[in-house]
Amino acid sequence: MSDNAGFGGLSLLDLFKLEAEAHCAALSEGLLAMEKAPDDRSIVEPLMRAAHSIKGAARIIGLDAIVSLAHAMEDCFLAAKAGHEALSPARVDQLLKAVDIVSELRSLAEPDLPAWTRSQSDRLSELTARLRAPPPSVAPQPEPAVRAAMPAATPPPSEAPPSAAPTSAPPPAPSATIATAAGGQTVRVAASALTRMLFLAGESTVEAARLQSLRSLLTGLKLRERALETAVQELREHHGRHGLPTPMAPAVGAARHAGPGEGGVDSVARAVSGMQTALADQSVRFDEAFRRLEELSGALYSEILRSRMRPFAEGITAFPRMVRDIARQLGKPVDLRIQGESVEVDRDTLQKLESPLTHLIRNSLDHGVETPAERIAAGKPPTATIVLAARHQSGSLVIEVRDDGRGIDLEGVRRKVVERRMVDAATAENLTPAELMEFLFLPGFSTKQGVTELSGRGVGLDIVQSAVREVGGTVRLDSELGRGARFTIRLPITRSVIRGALVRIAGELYAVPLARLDRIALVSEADIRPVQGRLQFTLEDESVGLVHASEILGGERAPSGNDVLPVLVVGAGGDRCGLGIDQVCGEEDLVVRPLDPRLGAVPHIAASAIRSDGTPVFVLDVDDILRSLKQSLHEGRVLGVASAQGATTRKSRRRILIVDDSITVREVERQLLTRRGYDVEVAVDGREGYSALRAGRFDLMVTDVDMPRMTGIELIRAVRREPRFAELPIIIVSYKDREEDRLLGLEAGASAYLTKSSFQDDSLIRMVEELIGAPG
Amino acid sequence: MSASSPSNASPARATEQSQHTDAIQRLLDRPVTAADLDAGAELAALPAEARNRRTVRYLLFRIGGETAALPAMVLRRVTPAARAVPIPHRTAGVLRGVCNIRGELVLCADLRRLLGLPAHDREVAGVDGSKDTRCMIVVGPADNSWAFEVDALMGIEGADPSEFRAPPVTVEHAIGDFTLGVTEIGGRCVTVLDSDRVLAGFRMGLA
Repeated sequence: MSDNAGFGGLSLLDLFKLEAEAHCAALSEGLLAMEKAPDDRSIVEPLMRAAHSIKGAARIIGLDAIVSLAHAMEDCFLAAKAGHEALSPARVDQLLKAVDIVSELRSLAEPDLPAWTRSQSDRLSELTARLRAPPPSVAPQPEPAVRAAMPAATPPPSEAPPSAAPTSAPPPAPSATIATAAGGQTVRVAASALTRMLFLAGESTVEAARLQSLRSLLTGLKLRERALETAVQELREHHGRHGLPTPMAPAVGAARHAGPGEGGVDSVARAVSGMQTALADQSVRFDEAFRRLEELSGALYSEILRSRMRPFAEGITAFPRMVRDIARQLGKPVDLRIQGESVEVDRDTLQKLESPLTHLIRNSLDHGVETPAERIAAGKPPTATIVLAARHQSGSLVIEVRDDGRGIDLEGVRRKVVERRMVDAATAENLTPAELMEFLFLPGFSTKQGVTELSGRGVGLDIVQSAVREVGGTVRLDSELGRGARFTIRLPITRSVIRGALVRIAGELYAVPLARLDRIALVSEADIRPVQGRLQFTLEDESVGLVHASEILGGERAPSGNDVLPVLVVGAGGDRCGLGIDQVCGEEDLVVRPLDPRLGAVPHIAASAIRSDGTPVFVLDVDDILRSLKQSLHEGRVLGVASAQGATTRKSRRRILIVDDSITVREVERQLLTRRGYDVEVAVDGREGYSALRAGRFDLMVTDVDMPRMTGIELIRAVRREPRFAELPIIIVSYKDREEDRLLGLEAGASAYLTKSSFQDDSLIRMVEELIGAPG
Repeated sequence: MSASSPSNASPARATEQSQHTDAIQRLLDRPVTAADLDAGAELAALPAEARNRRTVRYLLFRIGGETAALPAMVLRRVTPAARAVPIPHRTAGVLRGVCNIRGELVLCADLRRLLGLPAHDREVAGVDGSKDTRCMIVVGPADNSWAFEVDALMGIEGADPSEFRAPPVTVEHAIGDFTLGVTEIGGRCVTVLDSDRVLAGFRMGLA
């Protein structure tokens, strides 16, 4: 419990408090929302996750009573989600009481925890029991019933503050400064403040660079002064040669009658030389100051940049303890090995990875690792190994969680997929291992039969996936039956800085993340040949399709001055495509900033940045560009040859685009519409849907609302903004069936709003036919 | 970070311009003085109808041959003219792109276009040939702030909204749609813009 070797000096209890704080807030808010709209099941999912997370966190610090309480809460939400039990006000009341109890923990000091646990144990187990009991009757006054059930022996919290409260120290404020044993200090700083500091530091380096212009001003002054000096020198020589009391040369500007004689010339010479000394002196000082400032602002910038990076070890301090405890509880001896502890990880990423990694490790312990007896029978050492490894690999951060357990039973997954009617038996037969693994990441899908207290309930892998996506990463699962499983999380090393190639397209500068470039090829115009209406060139004996970037991004292509075309080669393997650009202008480290939210998603643009000279630049979205490239090359649209032919030769069947992040829903919709005779294409989120729609010809779009990266509402707004899609029929198919959701969808520009129950009857098909007629 | 020279603005112009804008920035940023407090107290003590006649401070600027004003309240910043980088697939019409305003990327709108005024032109702007007086004005709340370019800044002046006249019906251009009224300030005829309508106009430009 008092493991103080924690996160930057925070004890595990402190971490639990921080985590509980967030989850309690979410729970309270969600529960109150549920009370208002008891039938909205979409609210339940996050609540279930919050309870699940509290359960996990409480287990790490050994608060068994809270573990049971949170588990009971989770069960209530699970029942509500499955539709077995609507959350009655009385139930919500109980759940809120449970939230209060967890909240109480937050004000406890570590030494007082055991006393609190003892004094509250009755109250806790009582509440847990009540949550486990069938729902309280939906009586009009549920409140008294709850009160009555509270035995006098367990006074309500208001009368019995946590026993230790009077003596307990004030809880550490979330932003407190906590001294570590080493004497160094760790301060919690809001990430947004750090980001602003980074922007300001970046700006100060730009301003420092601007001083360069003042410096050249000084140099100019020095030159003029030298000319003056020469003039005085000439004057003096002239004067000496003629032995005349020559007055100042008219160039110096004095009048003839002033005639100061020889002494006058001397004093001018003295003044000029004094000026020279002063100027030289100032100039040296300025140079020094300028250089110092430049150095300092550069150092400040990189220091702030670096402060965002933390060693991997810092984010995983709780894991060894967690593994030990759970392994004991399960009676499975497990050796946790951690590799790459010093690998640097962006602090935002690190923080967000903690929860998905916890899930993955727990998943390994519960599902993956066998009992010692099973292991011995399988010829394996009785102690299982779980490896948690971090490394940098080709510009990405790769984190692996692998075990040597039983692995994933793919045939079991296949059976389950069919059993759950997610796809029909014939389709299931043809699913590849990778596709089958994808089902494991769907909400509510679990291969383990029994619901254990640990992780066997499908709440887990979908959380992992969404948490990893949130930090811009992907997660992959591969496994060998009987030998173990491996989760590979691949992430950008940092979300805040990229090394980018600066390229000019249609006169404007863009940045391309170097990590996403295969190479920049210089292709001679003579080597570019049109093949069936598309451009191609040969790279390493391989034909690579080529599209000019201005065709995709818009704008006029600059006439190339020479006969060599710079080409960005993107994509991998046989999927490589070339993007012709005007010019490569160098490379630069760029601090990436999200696009202004008012812009929504902009096609082909991932982010914005400010260059070191202060000019804004947009960062290209290579994935999105690759999609458009393939589409262009596929259709031969760019040269306008193939598409013209295609329009006349192709029998024009009605084409429908389905946009949904759930593979199940996509598959159901696809089958429904294909069977009816429509041509169907699918996209996995709003962003991809938008690209697909822009690139292809569609007669109708069917979209979900809740999707990562770009929601259905955002998608529809973006689509409707373009005049050519003003009339495109769009159908929303969503789980959300509240009136306000419907209105929101229709306001955004949807032609119709259906709920997902429309698959059962044929209302989707009917709506499609009503909007665009028969398949054609 | 290498020291590269700024790509725009000659040093002399930048210096001159920044003096100009700094003066306005100082005015915007200046702390509340005892005199301000006294003035505020005096105003509060006045009867309601007299208080309504109070003066409001306006930022005056030249744009497309007009002298226009926006309430100083909505101002966030004034900076030297900055180039707006166009946004692919989006920059057409009122939205000009994004520009760097002191380390922040701010959406940039084309106020001339919104108001239906001619594009920047020294003749029209009434600027003497020697120097470029253009600068950027940033307006709006934190979640809807916009930068736009004006031909020249004229300073901040007080004016009494109760003395505004309706814009003449003959007023050309779209400018009438965004005008609160016209009034005379310092001997000039000034078109006072309605900041809400201007901001809404910019926002519409996103679509």
